[in-house]
Order: sequence, then C-alpha cells, then structure tokens
Amino acid sequence: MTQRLVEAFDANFFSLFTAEVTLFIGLILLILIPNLGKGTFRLPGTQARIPWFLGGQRYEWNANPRLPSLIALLIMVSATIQMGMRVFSENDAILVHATGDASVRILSANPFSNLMEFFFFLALTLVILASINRLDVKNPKDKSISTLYNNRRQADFYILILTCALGMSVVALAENLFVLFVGLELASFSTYILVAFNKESKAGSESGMKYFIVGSAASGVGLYGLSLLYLWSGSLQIDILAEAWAGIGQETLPYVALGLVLVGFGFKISAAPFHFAAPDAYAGAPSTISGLLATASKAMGMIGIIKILLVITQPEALEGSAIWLWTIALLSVITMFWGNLAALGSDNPKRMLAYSSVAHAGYMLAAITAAGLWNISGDVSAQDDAIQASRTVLAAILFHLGVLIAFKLGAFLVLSVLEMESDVKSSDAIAGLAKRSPMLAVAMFIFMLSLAGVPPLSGFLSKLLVLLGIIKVAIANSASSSFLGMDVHWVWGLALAMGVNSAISVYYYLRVGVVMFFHEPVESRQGPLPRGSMIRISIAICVILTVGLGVAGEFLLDVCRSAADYLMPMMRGL
Amino acid sequence: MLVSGLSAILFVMGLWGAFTRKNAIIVLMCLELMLNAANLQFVAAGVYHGDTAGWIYTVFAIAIAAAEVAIGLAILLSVFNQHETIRLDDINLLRN
Repeated sequence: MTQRLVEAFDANFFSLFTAEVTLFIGLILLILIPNLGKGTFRLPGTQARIPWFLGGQRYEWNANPRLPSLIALLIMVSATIQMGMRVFSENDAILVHATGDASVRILSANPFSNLMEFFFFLALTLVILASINRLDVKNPKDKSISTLYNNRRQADFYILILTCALGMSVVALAENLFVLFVGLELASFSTYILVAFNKESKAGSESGMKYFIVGSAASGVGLYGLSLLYLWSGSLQIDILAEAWAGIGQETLPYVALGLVLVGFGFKISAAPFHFAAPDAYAGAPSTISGLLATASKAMGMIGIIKILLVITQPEALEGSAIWLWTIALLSVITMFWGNLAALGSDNPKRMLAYSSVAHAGYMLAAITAAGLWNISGDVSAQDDAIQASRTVLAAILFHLGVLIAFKLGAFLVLSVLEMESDVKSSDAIAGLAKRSPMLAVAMFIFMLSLAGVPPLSGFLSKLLVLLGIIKVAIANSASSSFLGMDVHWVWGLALAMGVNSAISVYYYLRVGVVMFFHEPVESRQGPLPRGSMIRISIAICVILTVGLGVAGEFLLDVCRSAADYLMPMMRGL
Repeated sequence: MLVSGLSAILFVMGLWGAFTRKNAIIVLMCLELMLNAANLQFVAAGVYHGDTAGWIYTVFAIAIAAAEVAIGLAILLSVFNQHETIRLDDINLLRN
C-alpha cells in the first residue's frame, strides 16, 4: 500500500474528496433552492425595484414541497456511488496535512475510512429514500399555515441528514482526535434535532430532550477527557498519541483521560451503562431516524472506539493494557445481558429494537476486546496466530457494522410504514400484519430472523464470523494463560456469553413473528396500510441486501479484510 | 497545575449538576460548565506545552458549546410547548 501526502486545500485536495465535496454542494443547494423566489428590493429614495431572487413567492419549478427530498436523494446517491467506487477500486492511503507542515496530520482517506463512509452513505441514502413518504407533504395550492409550515420543514429535515453525513465522514477521516470530536458533534447535533423532529407530539419532544441532555453530557465528558489527554501528551494527533502511549510509565492521568473519552463514545454506541437514553430516544423519534441512530450513528461510535482503543492504546504488553481489556470485556458482557433481558420485557417494538441494538453493541465490544488481544500471549511462536485471529475479528466487526444497516434499518423502516397511520406504541401495532400486508410481514420476519442470526441470512454470517474470530483469538492465546485455575483463556467467556445471549434473543425476535402472523389486527388498525411506495422500495433493498449478503457476501468481506489489513499495522505500531 | 485543579472542580460541578438538578435550564448550564472546564484545560495545557493548537481547540470548542446551547434551548422550547413544564421529573411519558 502506498501513502500519498496532500496539503490541505490545495488543488489536489478537492479532487480527492469528491464525495464529501458533493455533500457540501448539496447542503448549499438545499439551503438555496427552496428559498429562490420573486423577491425584490427597492432602491432607497426611488421606486425602482431590483429583482433579488431570494424570498418572496416561489417560482413554479421550486414550489413543489417534494423538491428538497429529491435534491437530497440525488446528492446522497451520487455520494454513495462515488464512495463505492473508491472502496472497490482505490487501495491507497491519502494523508492530508496542514499547509507547510507535513507532520501535522488532519485527515486520512484509507481503505478503512472509505469503507465506513460507504456504510454511512448507504444507510443515509436508505433513510432519505424512506423519508420521502414519511413526512406529511400536502399540495402546494393548499395555503393553510400548517401545510406551509410542514412543507418548509421538508428542507430542514434533509439539510440535517446531509449535515449528519458530513459529520460522520469527518469522523471516519479524522487523524486527530479533536477533528474526530468536531465531526462527532456535527453528526450528533443533527441527530439531536432529528430525534426531536416530531415536535408536535409529546413523545417526540420528550425523547429529543432526553437524548440531547444525556448525549451532550456524554460529549462534555468526552471533551474533558480529550483535554486531559492533551495535557498529558501535548498533542491530540493519533499517531503521536499512539507513540506516547507505547512509552507510557507509571501514570494515572492517561488512563483517567482514556476512561472519560470512552464514556463519550460509549454513549454513541449505546453501551451499558450509558444506554439509558437510547430506548426513549428510539421510541419517540421518527422510525427512520431511529434506524439511523441504530446503524450509522452506532458505526460512528465504533470508529471512535476502534481508533482510540486499538490504534492509540495498542496493547503492547499485558501489564499496560490489561486494564482496558478487562474493563471493555466486562462492559460488553453487561451490555449484552442488559440489552437482551430488557428487550425480553418490552412490549413496544421500537423499544425492543432499541434494546436489541444495545445487545449488538455488546457483541461488538466483545469483538473489540478480542481484537485487542493480538499481543497478549507474549511468546513469539503464538504471535502470528494471534495477529491473524485479531485480523479476522476486526474484519468481522466491520462486516457486522455493514450488514446491520440492511436488517436493523429495514426493521425500523417496516415500523415507519405503520407509523404513517398512527404512532407505534405497543405490539398491537404489528398484530396481524400478515393479514394486512403479507409482503411487509415477510420482510419484517426476515429482518427478525437475521437479527436473531438464522442461516442463510447475513445476520447469521456476521454473528458467526464474530464468534469464530473470538474463538480463534481464544485458541491462539489459551496456551499462555489460565482463568480461575482452569487451563482456558478468559476470552472463551466472551464467546460463551455471546452464545447464551444469542439464544435469549431468539425468543423476542421470534415473538414478533408470532404477533404478526397469528394475532388478529386490533380495532384501530384494520384496513389496508398506507402506500408509501418509496419506503417499500427501500425495504425491498434492505431485504435484498439481507439475503444477498448472507449467501454471497464474500466480496464485502474481502473489502472488510483489506480495511482490517490497513488497521493491523497501525495497531501493532508499525 | 492550579488551572487544571480549577478546571477539574468546574467539571465535577457540571457533571454533578447535570445528573442531580431537576430544572432543564440549570442542567443546560451545567453542561456548559463541563465544556468550559475542558476549554480552560486546553488553554492551560497549550501554555504548558508551548503549543498553540490547544488555543485553536478552545475556539472550536466554544463554537461547539454555542451550537449546543442553541439546539438545547430550541428543544426545551418545544418540550415546554407540549408538556407545559421543564422539570425533568415531570416529563416521563415514555417510561413504560
């Protein structure tokens, strides 16, 4: 792999980041185009009126309230295609450094960041496609205040989604923890507003407030942790921090800082004990946005955790890194059990999916712990195996983050069709769905099976890969360590916890199927479902991806492996 | 050292307030306190290391804090429109 150095904002810079530039242009277009109109202003002291083109009555062509959604869709699809081409053709790493100083790194486009950005853009494209039907758009001839108001809010919604995409790509590209933090905040602020977007409902505003307060408390803690890291090392650049961490002595400051920073990212992936706001936020937000939080936003938090835990605090030796390995292992087990047990007891499908997303965060944290164990065994003969095993786990995490978009988002999209008639508050909403719309019920059932991990769906493949990776790590390390007097490595415990949790989760996923296929529809939800052709198209895409990546996911897995190959040398400090 | 201690005190005050106070406006102020503790630390650490990057981080963090207040107040307004209160204990529709 070759590395190319590029100066920030020189001629090459913009041609290398075409997808992000497209997003930025799209943002400007989304702000400008709905505001173009026959506005004029009068020259002071005269009667002459000069056309000003902003404000006033809109023209015929931009009066359509659906226009912002179409612009956003166009921009997002083109960004996704560009990013897809980058993922499948480009293998170089591009380092962007500050003007005149090559040692100050800002951004880096590499196989890992390209892949993550591709996932983000794909998820956001599906969200935009589904949202075209989701928001209430009325005929522009209807001049009532609420209609005009709603039609104007169309533009706001898509501006926020594009901002979110931009923030997420900054997180993926960042080579400096503060840049990463700014991107994280940009994406978080958009999601705070998007969660509270149904501000005319009690649930919408309440969920927005809870998500905002807990989220900004977490990011405040994270920022304070960053400031402590900066105090300790004098720089927040990832490679400098990694070097400083390798030479760490008997200090407590960096560990305190690391813990505080992890709180910030732990909230983003909704890991226990920072998951309390997640079920409320998912339940009150529009379903498409809940899907966004459960997939793209979670992947964004995982990038932060991968960059901090695996790249910066490379587990050089058992003494230095055992603290975080044990902590994250413990947290992952707590998160899995908490998520799954809470999901068992929740009747609202949106809350159930929120808790299942907490459980999935637990699986991913377990996998991160396993990936961090590449050097723990200490003896050289076993090290090659351990490195191979961590690479497998890392690729499995990335693959899981990718396929999660297909079935987690898809499940929320099915709920959003139901939300078009009335709010989804309990399992009554999906009762008898099979009688009302067999296609949707089958789609939802496929998503549930995939979440539960039933072959041949992609959820099965990703869970199997994660589990196999953890077991591989356990085998590679088991020669060197014993646990509770037995000759087994404690990573086996993670694999066991994951297996037990998968078994628990099957119950509540399949219960959705029972409610859909065997219960009678409730009084208030009898007739045919709202049409929502765009939502149905995106659900169909999700079904195709869920099944297709399960049986023929090898090409995506190859890309994930090459991204893991890029990360491994960084983890090993090479 | 002194400034770090001060910022640690500010941070703990903010964190403690954000989780114990019941008035949403005061919670918002506590969140700001946390961000400002980080700002203070960045400036102090910048001086300590002789590195201007810390000061630039502070400028960005102030902008972030301003955006956060704007969003927070907007969300609180919509909450007040719906629930007619911003006492966090009284807003518990979603807990089932």
